[in-house]
Amino acid sequence: MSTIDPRADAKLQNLPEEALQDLWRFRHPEEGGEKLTLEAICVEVQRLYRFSISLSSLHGFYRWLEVKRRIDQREDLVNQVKQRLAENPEVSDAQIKMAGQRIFMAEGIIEKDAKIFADMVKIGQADAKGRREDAKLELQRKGLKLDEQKFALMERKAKAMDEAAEQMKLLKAGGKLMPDAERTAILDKMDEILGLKK
Amino acid sequence: MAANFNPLTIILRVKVREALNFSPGYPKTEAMVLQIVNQLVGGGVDIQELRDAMEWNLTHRFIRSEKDDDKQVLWYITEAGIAQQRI
Repeated sequence: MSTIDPRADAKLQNLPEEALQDLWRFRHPEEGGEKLTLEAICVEVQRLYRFSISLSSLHGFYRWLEVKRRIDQREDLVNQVKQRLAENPEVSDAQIKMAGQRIFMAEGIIEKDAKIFADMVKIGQADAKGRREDAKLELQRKGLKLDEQKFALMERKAKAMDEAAEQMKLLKAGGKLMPDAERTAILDKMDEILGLKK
Repeated sequence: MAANFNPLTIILRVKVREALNFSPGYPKTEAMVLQIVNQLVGGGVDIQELRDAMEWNLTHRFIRSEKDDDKQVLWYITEAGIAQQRI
């Protein structure tokens, strides 16, 4: 078992949320309420939570509590945005997490409107989607160009085959009686057509 | 011979953990940590002192860092750091 006694401000910081709200109200009472002095709160802490705390620790605790409340609000806002994004089936968990982090780190642009944040994220998404579509179109365009080149190549090959067939006919028609020079000329021509000539 | 500790050094080490312990699931940049620590101590924190305090916490594995897609360093408190904050 640990024998270390937690610091008084750590004890305060680790009080349940409800107690933290009570302590906040001591310094920030609702309308008509009485604002307690730090000295009075020291007494209240002793009475309510059974430990003593110095004025300087209490002062530091209230600074901490103020920051905590602001960051908690920001986290609530981010959680609202994440919930809204989660309603969209096109948004992945990773995207939601990333958007949450970015918004959490975006300091005080719009502190209270989750809808505007969600809309901003959607705009960003639409932008990304647009870029993806553009990239897709570019790929399709490149594919089309490749198809055109392929078609032209096939056309050239077909033409070459036709011409080669024509030369074959001549060769066949000449038969054995064809003079060697003429036969050689036809074979040369065929090599040329078929791209075999060096 | 006892080490010559500057009380501010020790305070900043604690405040760095305090800053990262707010919404611990969310990362914070160094600028955010500096801003929060300044709010906790009432301002005037030197960036180098803060970095020393962060380095000390990192060495003791009370905090950790990672880089995001933009190569920005993000800071988190560790479980050990959270436990340390309770004492």
